[in-house]
Amino acid sequence: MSQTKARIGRVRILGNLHTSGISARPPPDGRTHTGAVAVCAQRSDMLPAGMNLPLAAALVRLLAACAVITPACATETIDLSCTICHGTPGDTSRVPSLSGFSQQTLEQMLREFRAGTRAGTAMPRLMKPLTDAELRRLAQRFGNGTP
Amino acid sequence: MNRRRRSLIASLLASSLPLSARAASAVTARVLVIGGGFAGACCAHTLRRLAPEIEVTLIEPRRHFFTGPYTNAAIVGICAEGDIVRGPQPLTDTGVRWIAQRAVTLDPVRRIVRTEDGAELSAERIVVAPGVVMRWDVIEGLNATSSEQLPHAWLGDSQVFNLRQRFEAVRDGATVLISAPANPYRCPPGPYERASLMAWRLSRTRKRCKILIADAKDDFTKRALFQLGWDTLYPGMIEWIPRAAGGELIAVAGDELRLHNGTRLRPQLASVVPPQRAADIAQAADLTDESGWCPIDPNNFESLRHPGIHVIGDAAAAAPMPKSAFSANSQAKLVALSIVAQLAGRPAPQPRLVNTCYSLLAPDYGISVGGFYGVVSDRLSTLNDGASPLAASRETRASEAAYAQDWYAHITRDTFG
Repeated sequence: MSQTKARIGRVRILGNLHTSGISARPPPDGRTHTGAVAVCAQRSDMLPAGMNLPLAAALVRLLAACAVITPACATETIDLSCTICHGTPGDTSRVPSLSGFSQQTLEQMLREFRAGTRAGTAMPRLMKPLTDAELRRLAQRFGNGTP
Repeated sequence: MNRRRRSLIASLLASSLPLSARAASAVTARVLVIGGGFAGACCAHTLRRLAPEIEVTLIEPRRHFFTGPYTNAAIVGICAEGDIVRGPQPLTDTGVRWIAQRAVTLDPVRRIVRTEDGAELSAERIVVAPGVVMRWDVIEGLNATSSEQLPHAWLGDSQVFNLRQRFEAVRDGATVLISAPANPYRCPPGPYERASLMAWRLSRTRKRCKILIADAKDDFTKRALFQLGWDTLYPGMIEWIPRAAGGELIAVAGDELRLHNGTRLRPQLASVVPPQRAADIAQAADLTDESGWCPIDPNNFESLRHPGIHVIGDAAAAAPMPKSAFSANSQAKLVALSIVAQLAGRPAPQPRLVNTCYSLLAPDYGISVGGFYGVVSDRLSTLNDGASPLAASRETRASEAAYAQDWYAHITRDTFG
């Protein structure tokens, strides 16, 4: 029973989709289509026992449709600012892409920009005031879904 | 799945639904956005992306306009004028209701907007993003009529064609004068980028041309980078006359321009960028103060004069943020997030704002300035900023020129759809 409660806990925090191992990601064009939220469950072991992927997907769609959820749950301005220079996934941009990095790699790169140990044009000056939590959130948002 | 788990999940779904449904119904509201430039269009677009339940109406009379960014490039022929035309139409595909009218009055207490055709609209929240208008009370003899002979090309209208045609007609040996206003004004590096790109073009197609910048101030953004670039690319061709040297333009009469130091000039071409203030609707709605700009709460850009009305973009008194497209886009997103959070009863977003401005000194020579802004002791403050390094390779300058192009493509798509 205690195990069940723990699993129920996970379901309850589905709002924090990354914690649950399920992420609602934006379509490549970056537009909002809540009815077409792509659902990726990278870690099925983190799903509540007995919940299969279609059900998880349905639940996420349901939450996305009912609540105010952005394509990638943006809650802060900076979450929505990166693509201004970097473009959205799939763009052929000469500004270095945000795509293709794991969360960990991306977070490490952002930390290096902040510390001034990584060369760049705009990034070192923009990253300097960001908090650890903000860097982590950006890495979660733009990382390729692998931890 | 066993029956017990099924019923548990079903009850979880059931218990989560009313909460979610309440959240959804709570955000059903109407938002009116006045102005469809980088601030207004981005706010309308972002609201629709964040909360499709909100009815968003955009009041913008212009079907098409030229964007401020890349106007200088269009004037000197680096890109076509058609490349920098944008408008509100694509936003209607995202569900934004577009009213192609000019907002003439805004009752800031009752929150009612009247448009030119006499229609009245009201909303729970109003976002005012009307941009700037030129002030005709500072430089003697400069007004809407005389400005046509000295085109600023600063507001996205037919003056862009006008200046381009006049620039094309410049002959060998010409002097071109660009007059830059005192701060604050839209696009702080614009006059200097214009001088740079005109020098680029004239140095290739004409002989012995000179560009004077008559300035009402003693410093300008990215000055060291601009001056280094001028020395490198166009030695001796661009002369900057700061305010301290009497460079402020104080009068125009026909084709004669008079500077504060007494110099009278009759350049072949003059582009006078006038001093500016927040656009008329902001003034009419009592949103401006004695500075001519709209004081705002930096936490959510709500007017300090009238609650429930947000002012974003160039009309807002948002120093130290520059009046740039990126600033406008960033402020628009903060306001959209704030409105959605407030209507949904969620915590307000952190006021964390970003700006990056690229300037071209040649098609393959770009420089940038950027900053990160937040609220410290209730004031909008620079948390960090910086510009391209002075000591950079030509490859770096070329990269930044390429980044500028991509930035333009991305920000216009993000803003206008």
